[in-house]
Amino acid sequence: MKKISFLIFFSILIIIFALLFFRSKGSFSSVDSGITEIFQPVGVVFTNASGGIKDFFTNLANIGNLEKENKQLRLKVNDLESKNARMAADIGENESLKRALGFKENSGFQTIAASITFFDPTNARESIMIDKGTKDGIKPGMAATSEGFLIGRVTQVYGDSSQILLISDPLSDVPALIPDISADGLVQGQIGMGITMNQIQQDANLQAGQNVVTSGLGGSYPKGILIGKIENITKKNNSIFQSASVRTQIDFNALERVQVIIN
Amino acid sequence: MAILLDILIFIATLLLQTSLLARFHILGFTPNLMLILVITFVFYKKAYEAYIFAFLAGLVLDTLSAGPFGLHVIIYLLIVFAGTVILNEDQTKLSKLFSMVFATAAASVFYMALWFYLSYSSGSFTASGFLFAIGQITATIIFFAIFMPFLKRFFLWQKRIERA
Repeated sequence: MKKISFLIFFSILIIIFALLFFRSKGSFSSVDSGITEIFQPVGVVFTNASGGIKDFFTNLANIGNLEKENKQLRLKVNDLESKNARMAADIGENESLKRALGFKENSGFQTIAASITFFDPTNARESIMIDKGTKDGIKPGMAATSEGFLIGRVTQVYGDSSQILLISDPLSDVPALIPDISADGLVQGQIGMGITMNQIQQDANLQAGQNVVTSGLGGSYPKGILIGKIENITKKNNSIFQSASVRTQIDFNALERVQVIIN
Repeated sequence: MAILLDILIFIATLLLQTSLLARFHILGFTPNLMLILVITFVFYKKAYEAYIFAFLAGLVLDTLSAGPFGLHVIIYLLIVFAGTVILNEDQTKLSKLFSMVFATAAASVFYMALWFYLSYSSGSFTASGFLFAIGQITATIIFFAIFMPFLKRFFLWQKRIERA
């Protein structure tokens, strides 16, 4: 019996290595596509339902803080409205200056909205599956956002689904920029620890609360997409670079809908 | 009937793992329910059933995961192989200590392999990553201890239905 077990095991191992080989050559996409299409309809329903369940328990836990949060938000809205009014005047002036210089207009990003069907089952990898694929114009390498914040990049695309590698994944690298001080760096995920911005020049004047955006270097992400804000700074005198943790407004566990940038 | 029940439990576990549990972390950790199910298949199912389940479950999870592709399949099959070598087929009386030790070893192999792959690929072996893997193993073992009796009853009930 144990000899048969050995035989079965090694036979399956050979099949697996053959699968890995053919997959690396790109010959397996139809199987992957088939698997995702089979489970996708149920996955969408369950993921949306689990989002509702999470919201219910989160709201229950936060009831005590609602009034305080409401007050803070009202103050913030008033402040933003007054800034908005000042900006409206600046926009008018900006437009007339552009016309005077013959400036070409930059259009905003064109996006496709998608729902999340599955999260990564391992918890150590940070990725999601969405319900849009090649049929919807999605291609590998496209950036994905949620509520205006960068969340990741499309890595695998099938007929009706795609996989997005989140920026909190340990193997994700996002060339980033702190516009306030024009400091470049690399935003990377840490296993179970969120996101940090590394390789920032030692003489950069980092401060908590500074915005971090995509720099567009390397062409992997469009320029100017908000990633988050600088939180805790790590600076060692004997090091070439400094680093900082980045706080994003996005709760990656609570994602429900994303926008994929298609141009 | 038995195959249908196995498919249903597989789908339920897959959806729980990739939808519900992904949103509800316990102190930042998520137990690996599919791994628990594979281990239970090793204990209470025939060897070929456990192999087939491990292979198919691993293939689906590898497709839905960011990788490395093949990790789930290979580790799950290793678990089934180790189980079939150590145990006689179709164990219905299994000591709790042995099942806990086996589950701990299985979870450790899985998460250490994943941690090593991620650390090697990203070029940094961090203590936080190692501790995260330990946390994941602990969460899986705790869930295994809680749910093993229920899964055992389920599979023994399935056997009674098959015999009837």
